[in-house]
Order: sequence, then C-alpha cells, then structure tokens
Amino acid sequence: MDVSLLIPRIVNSDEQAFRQFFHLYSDRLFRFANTILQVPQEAEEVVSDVFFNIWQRRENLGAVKNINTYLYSAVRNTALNYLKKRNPLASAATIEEIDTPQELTVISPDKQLISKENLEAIARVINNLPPACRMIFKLVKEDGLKYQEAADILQLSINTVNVQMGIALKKISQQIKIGQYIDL
Amino acid sequence: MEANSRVWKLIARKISGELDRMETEELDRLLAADPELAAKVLAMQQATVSTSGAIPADRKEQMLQHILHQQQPAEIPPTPVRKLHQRWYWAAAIFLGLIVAGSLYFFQSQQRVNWSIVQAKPGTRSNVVLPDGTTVTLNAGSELAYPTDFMNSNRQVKLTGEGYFQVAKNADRPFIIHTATVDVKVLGTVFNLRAYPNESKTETALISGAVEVTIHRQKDNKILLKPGEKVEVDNQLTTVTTTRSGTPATATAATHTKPDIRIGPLVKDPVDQQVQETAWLEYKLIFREETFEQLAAQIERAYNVKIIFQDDAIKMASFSGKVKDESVTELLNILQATKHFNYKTVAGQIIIY
Repeated sequence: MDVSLLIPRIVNSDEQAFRQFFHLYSDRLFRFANTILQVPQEAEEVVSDVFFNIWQRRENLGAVKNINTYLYSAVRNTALNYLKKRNPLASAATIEEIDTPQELTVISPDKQLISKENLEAIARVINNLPPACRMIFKLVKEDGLKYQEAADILQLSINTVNVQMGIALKKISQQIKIGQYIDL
Repeated sequence: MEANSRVWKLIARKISGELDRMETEELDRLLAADPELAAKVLAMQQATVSTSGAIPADRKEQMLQHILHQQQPAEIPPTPVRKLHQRWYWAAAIFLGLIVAGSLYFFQSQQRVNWSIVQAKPGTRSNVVLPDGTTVTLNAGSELAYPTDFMNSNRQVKLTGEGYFQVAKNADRPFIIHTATVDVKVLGTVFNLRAYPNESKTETALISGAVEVTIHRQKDNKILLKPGEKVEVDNQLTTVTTTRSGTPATATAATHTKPDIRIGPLVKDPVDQQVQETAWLEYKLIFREETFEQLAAQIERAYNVKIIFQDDAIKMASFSGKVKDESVTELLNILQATKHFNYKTVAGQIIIY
C-alpha cells in the first residue's frame, strides 16, 4: 500500500483512508513507543494520542515531507512526555538514557536451515545491544526506515546511525555459524 | 582497526540498502577476500527481524471509533464495552502474557514456500498481525504458520490450537485456514477457531461475516455458517476413518462412516450474554460438562503446568463452570468444592489423587 496515495484522501476527511493509514502504522508505532516506555498500556495511549492529533489536524498532513519521520518523531516526543509525567523530577529524558531490555523469542521457519540454538543466540545478541544501538537496528532492519529517517527520529547524526548499525551487525555476524547450518 | 570499522560501515549500508555504486564495488572487493564473511553478510541481508507485539484488534477499533467519532464500536466486539478501565486492565493483562515473539527468517531459495511460525507457548498469548492487516490472537499452547511471502502468495495459514481471527476484507483473495480436521475459507470476518490436537473436536465459531468450513474427509460437504453459529467436527472419527485403510476399523469407528458434525448457535452466558466461545480472550476458563482429564489439558495450556492423575476415577469426573483470573491453586480449590479429590505439588507438577 502506498502511503502517499492515502495522505491526500485523509486531508479530504476520507475515514476509510485514515483507517488504512492507522492499520499500516499502529503496531509499528506501538512497538517503538513500548521500547521507550516498557508499559504497553501507555504505549497504546501514545499511539492513540498521536493518531488523534493527526486526524484533528488532518488538513496539515499534506504539508508533511516525510511521513515516517513525522510519525515516529511524534511518537518519540509523546512517549518522552509520558516518561516525564511518570517522574517529573527527572531531567529531560532522552533516547540515549533509556535502558529497556526486551525479551525476544525467535522462531525459525525452516529448522533444517539454521538451528534453534543459533537463532536464539542471534536474538540474544540483538536484545543485549545497548538501547540506542538496538533502537537504531530495529528502526532500520525491522521497520525498514532509511538512515536519514532513523537519524532524524532519534535526533542523532547519520554517521552515528551508520556506526551503530555496523556494531550491531558485527555482533550478530559473530553468532552466525556459516557452513554448519546455512547451505549457501 | 580503521579498515575493520570501514568494512562494517559498508556492510551495514549494504544490508540497510544505503550503498551507492562506488561503495558496492569497494565492498565486493573486500568480501571476495573473505568468503565466510560474505556468506554471513548474505545471511544477514536475507534475514528479516520482527518483534511481535501489537495492539489488540478490538482496542484498535475502539481507538478508531474514539478518534473518528468519539463513540463506541459499531461492530459487535468480542467483549462488552461497559467499563473502560476494566478493558484497559485486560489490555494490559494480554500484554503481560504476550510473548514478544521475534523472528529471524533465513530463506534459501525462492521456489520453496517458507513458513513463518508464531507460537504462543503454554501460559502465554500471542498477537499476530499478518501483512494484509488480518489479526490473530493465539491462545496458550497454539501455533500459527503463514508463508513468509504472504502478500504474494494466497492468503493461507495453518493453525494448531486456538485462534481468534479478524480477517481483513479482500474479496479477490479469500483467506484460508488449514487445520488437521477442517479448512475454513473466509472473505473478511471475525471468528474463533479451536483446533487443539489433544482435544476431541474442532470448533469454528462465527461472530460476524461468513465462513465456509470444509471437512478434510468430505471435500464436497461445505458448511456455510451464519453469524452467531458454530460448527463442531469430531477429530477422533476423522482420524479413524483416515487410517482405516491401513488398520482394521474398530467397532465404534465402523458405525460412523463420516465425522460427526454438529451445527448450532453460540453459547451465551445467561447473565451477561457474553459469547462463551471467545471468553478465553478475557482470560476466562470455561468448561461445560467436561471431564477432569479434558479440563486438565486446558489448565496445563493456560497456566503452563503439568497435571498428573494418580486416581483414574477422578479423571472422569465431570465439571461445569467458569473461572476468571484465578491462580491454579485457587482454581483447584474451587473444583474441590464440587468433587472430592486431593492434590499436591511435587517438583513443579500437580499430582491429583
């Protein structure tokens, strides 16, 4: 589905288009919010707030240059506000300060190809990446965002994104056992 | 060290699709000298990472209704919408039980169908959003398989266990769910499908829309369900008839030439009118004239415990009731109120005697 086709329809108050738009992004944004907040209920509220504001001000949506950056940044800012609400005495929260270990269960679709232990080892590496590194990795590799988009959303330089991706992939590659399971 | 970090920057750019032509040539040269690294890069490039963890479908509908109209859902939700705070509680509960399933898929060739598998292990739930927008809530001890290339293949999935499906409408591409006993074909609808391998029947319960159930043993007998109806197909008899060619049929099997099929209305709670077939979504455990043995299988899945009977008579005791949000001990204490039995926990197993 091409988002750029949905935007003009949403601007024209097309509810069906808005619904498609919502379903396209809500889970991704929820997961992103949850990496920051670690409370699914709050992450849901953040997503709801963001989409509520978009619908309320839908006539402005046409002016948005990059919808990915716009949505994720809105979620990021709203989530950080929730963090601040939780602890008003804390100094302004930033992405780098968030430490959020997440459990990841890995399932292999083809057990002959790569062993379960190997996949689990890979997942463990991803989960044990430093928070900022893991967040960058997930935005780029899982959500398919461009370096520039990830950099804008997390307010980092594009070079930092590149370096952190390199670090993540180097660690992952050390867990891949070539020749043993993967027949290339 | 400098050269090393350069390689990894290039690899990262390649895998992220950020590499330009000059860099591609540079990386190709570097990888040509290191075949093992080249193989790893290829594996990482082809791997897709996904963290599951989604907003429950009924919560999404609620959000949309709130955002668009600031009113309650128009469609019949699986649960009554009386108390908002209570629903939040359940939403949170679902997520606590939800396995944050991530998957790394490694594909070898394009010709073969690669299946991605999402599991809800015993004691947990899993919410799956398929690429077409269809959502599935998997009950404890269930597994859903779908083609990795879902969008470019038919909308077909395989289910073992129990799932609550909200299938995205697409008239051109019917959605088919395969189970051991039946196939269910849908165009866009909400329903519950229960197909646990260790249970006697496969149950399809339709909430809204329309589904067509095909029984493996009788391909030409297609059962069309109307909203509010369910169909139960006996697993055991299907298995017996399937294997009859190889083994002599038993006396009971011989009396049945086809699986037992029962079509009837969904069962509603007389008090709150809640549909019982989907009550598990609210962490309610419902049993209607079930033997202790059947009930134990449900408890094992829902609580991730092991139950062992040391008394064969109590296995056959029949229970009816509904419990919600109880611990295993509380549940067993409730059961003890109606039937006489003892239990003890030994090495993480519950012994009934």
